[in-house]
Amino acid sequence: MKKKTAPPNDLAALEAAAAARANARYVLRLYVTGTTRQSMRAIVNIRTICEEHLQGRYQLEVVDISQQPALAKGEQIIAAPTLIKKLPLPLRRFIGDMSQTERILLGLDLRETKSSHHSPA
Amino acid sequence: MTSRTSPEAQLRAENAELRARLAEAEDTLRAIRSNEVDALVIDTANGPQIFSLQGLDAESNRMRGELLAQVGDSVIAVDGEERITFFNAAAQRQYGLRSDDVLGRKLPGIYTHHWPAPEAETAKCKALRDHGEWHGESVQRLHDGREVHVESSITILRRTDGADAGTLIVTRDISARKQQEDTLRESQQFARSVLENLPAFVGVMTVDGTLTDANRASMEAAGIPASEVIGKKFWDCYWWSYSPEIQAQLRDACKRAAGGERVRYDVPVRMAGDTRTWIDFQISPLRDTKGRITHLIPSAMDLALRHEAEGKLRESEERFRVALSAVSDIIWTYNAAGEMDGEQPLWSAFTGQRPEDFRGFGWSKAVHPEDAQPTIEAWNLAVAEKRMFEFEHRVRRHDGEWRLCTVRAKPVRYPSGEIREWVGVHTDITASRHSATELQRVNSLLDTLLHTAPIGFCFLDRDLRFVRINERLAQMNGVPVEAHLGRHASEIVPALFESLRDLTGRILTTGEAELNHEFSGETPATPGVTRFWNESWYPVRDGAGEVVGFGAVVEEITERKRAESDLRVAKARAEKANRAKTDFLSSMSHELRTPLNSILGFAQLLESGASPPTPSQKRSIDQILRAGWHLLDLITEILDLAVIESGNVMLSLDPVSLTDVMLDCRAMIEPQAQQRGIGIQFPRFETLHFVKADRTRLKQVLVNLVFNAIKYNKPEGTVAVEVTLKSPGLVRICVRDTGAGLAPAQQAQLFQPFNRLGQERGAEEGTGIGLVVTKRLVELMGGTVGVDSTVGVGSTFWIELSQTAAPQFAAADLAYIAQVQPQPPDGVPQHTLLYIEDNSANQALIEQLIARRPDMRLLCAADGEAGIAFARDYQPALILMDITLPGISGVEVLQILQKDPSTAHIPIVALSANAMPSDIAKGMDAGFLNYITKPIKVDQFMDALDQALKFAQTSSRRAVPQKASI
Repeated sequence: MKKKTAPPNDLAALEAAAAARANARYVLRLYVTGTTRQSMRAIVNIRTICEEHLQGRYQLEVVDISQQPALAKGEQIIAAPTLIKKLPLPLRRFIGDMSQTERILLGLDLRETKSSHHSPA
Repeated sequence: MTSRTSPEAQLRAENAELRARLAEAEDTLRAIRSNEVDALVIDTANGPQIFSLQGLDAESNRMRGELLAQVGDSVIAVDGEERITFFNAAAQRQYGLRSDDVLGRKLPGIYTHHWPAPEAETAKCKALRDHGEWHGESVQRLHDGREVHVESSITILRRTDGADAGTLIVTRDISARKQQEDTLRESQQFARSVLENLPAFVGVMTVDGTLTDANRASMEAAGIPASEVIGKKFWDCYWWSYSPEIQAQLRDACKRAAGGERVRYDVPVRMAGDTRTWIDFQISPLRDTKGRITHLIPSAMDLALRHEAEGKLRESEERFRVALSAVSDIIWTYNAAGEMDGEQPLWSAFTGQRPEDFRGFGWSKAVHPEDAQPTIEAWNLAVAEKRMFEFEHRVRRHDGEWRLCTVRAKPVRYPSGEIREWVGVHTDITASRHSATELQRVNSLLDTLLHTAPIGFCFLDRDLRFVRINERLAQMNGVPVEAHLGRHASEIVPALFESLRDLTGRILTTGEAELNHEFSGETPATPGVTRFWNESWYPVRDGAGEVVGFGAVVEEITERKRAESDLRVAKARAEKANRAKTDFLSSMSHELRTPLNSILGFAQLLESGASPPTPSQKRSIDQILRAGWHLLDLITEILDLAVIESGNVMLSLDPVSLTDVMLDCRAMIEPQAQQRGIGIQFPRFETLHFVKADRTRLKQVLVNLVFNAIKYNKPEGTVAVEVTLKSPGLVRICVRDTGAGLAPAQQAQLFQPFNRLGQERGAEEGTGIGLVVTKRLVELMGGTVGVDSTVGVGSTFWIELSQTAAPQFAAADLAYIAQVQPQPPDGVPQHTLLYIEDNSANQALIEQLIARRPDMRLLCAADGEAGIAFARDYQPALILMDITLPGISGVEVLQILQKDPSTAHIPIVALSANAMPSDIAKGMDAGFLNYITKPIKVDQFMDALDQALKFAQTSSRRAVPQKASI
């Protein structure tokens, strides 16, 4: 059935979306290559972020593609370490050792910036 | 989602998408440039491949990673905020967590520290602060609650610029080691407390003799504190320092112990208060696991204690040895391998085997060859299975005899269960087996005996039910043995039951057996027929004496009873017949004698009548008379024979004096002999023979024989009567004549009645019955009669009779005789006077007279024979004899006494009513010492006695020459 609704009131919708986001469950997948320095650093860093900002509502999966490169193909991984935010949508992709904490937080919609008020950037 | 999207929105969305992608690409490039990426994934024809960007670092990284993975201790790196940045494989194992799961987490999430004391934590912090590192032990409590003891090294990581780069923690789980240390400490404490509480003395020395430890007892006993001895040389300590010699001895002992020797000796030590106590002292070297001597252990026990223990041991051993010797079984031991070794005194004593014989398996040689192999097999089995051994076999005893024995052996185990040795026992069961076999044999024999006995046996319980019964009695009852058992007697033999019940009732009352009761009645064996049994019933008691039943012996006497009654009938008939015969005989006798009386009487009247008969009449009368007397003799003898034949003759067999009988016989026969001119010779009467015979009948027999000898003799012939002792106890009286003799054919017919062997036509008269009667009579007297004869020479008729002893006076009579005399006063000798007198009045008179003489004792004999016997037995000092005696006369008694050496010395005084001078002379001639006449004058009598006594005491008599016997 078609729902005839007026386009949402932007502010209210935004706030609702923000509130929803505040409770959303995150599913993250980190692709690493064995126990290299970068890989380990990436794990440590992302875990730190999760523990600090997503305490109790995250699921971090670590995938080692050095043993099974085929796993990389499904997600179109081109470099490791790579973090994929699977949930909540949209899909996001981060590459590196995850030491750019601010950028990652932003990318995970865990930082409020001016631009976010308007539309998902 | 809205159904329509404005193109603007769409564009904006696509824009956003592109921007995002772009941002990503930029991000990627940036990451690569800033060396945050270590690998690229490139899709190749062969699939996606990974290209590492690490370069040289990659290899060293990998190696580092591998090294760290190999390390056994857990290695954890944390950053400044205690986040785990590194977590090696060992750490993963130790904490049970995956590296991926812990990286980035904070360390307290894995474990927390527990410090034994707050100071320990402070010390750790201080160390880290001051030195940047710390090493120590702590307790970690893990996330799952476990507590582990760990040994950790903590190192602060610094960057080249000096700033903290985090902390490296290397941890080793020492829980196991801690456990061991605890266990060790516990056992050490235990050992220590044991040592401390020992009453003995124990210490520890180093190899060079320095005392490092001693137990409390050693120090308390000496009354010294530990500080005075610990750390000093042992021999310098209080216990020893009282004597240099003792110290030197100890020093030497320590040296030897240090060389590996265990030294032991008795020595006095100094105790508190400077007293001495002897101890059993020893030093043992203590070795480590490699065998090196690390310490010396001195220890000591109060000698008194040791002596006590030794004493107890000796006591126990002694007890054991005595017990062993008291046991009649053979006890032995085997070693663990099942071989006999060492000393085995009981085995040796029994079998005679010495240790070299029985050693090992040598004992099997003492076992019977047939039993040896099975024994060994069974033994090996028992040893292998380590269980008790039981067997039965024959063993040779030292004397060579095979004895049947049971043998049992059991293993003796160490506390650990290992077998130390075997202990076994042999029991000689030969005797008991033998007696068991014997018993069985006897039992079966008894059973057989019982069942095959021709007499009935049975056993009833108290209720009179059959418990046991043998074949014979079952047959008598007519019911099979098995059918009796358990059944009541009233069911089996109802006809006899009442008597049985009464009888058993009596047994119960009196407790005594009832023997030889006659039962009569019917049994099922022969219904309708009354039978008889002799039954003896007796009570059967149990161990307590209670009657549990009745036993019986039953004998069938039906036949016997029948025989008895037949016999009784026959006896009655015979007696009747006998009585009839006797009556007949006596009436016959009477009938015959009566007319004969007339014949003889009137004939005699005629002969001696007023008018004498004429010679021819006299001749006729003589004939009548002779015939008549002959008929009388005949009748008498026939009747006599008849009486004898009918067995009615009454004989009284007494000791009869042959002398007596012969004298009577002689008196009767002499006139006949003289008339016929035949000389008769009778034996001399030196010895008295007594025979068992009837006096009257013996006389009759003798007269018959002698008369025959006289009648059937030759003119001027002789008859000799002789008495000989045929054998001890047998007297033969021979009557020898000088007649015509008898041929053997005639001898055979001798003892037949009415057979006069041709003498019927002879001059002599005879009945022909005499010898028959003689024979019968002699046989009735238990003797024999016979004849020896030679034709032309003569015949000897003999009879043999049993000799018997002289008649003894009854003891009562003797006692009476003895009683008559009073006891003489002491000191006065008493003389025995023998008075031979048959007249009781005379006897009484003399008794009275002698009663007045305390020096004399009177003995009376009623006739000559008794007198002679008394004279011999009692050896009187003096004999007084009546000349007129029954049987042999006083003179003859005198002669006999004088001839007998045992009585010849005794003076004999005659006492007689024959007072004629010729009588007196005759008596004196005969040999009497004195001749006293009746009636007696008392004083004369007494004087005569005195005289005779004096004579007896002073002189010895001359032997009187023998006179020829008449």
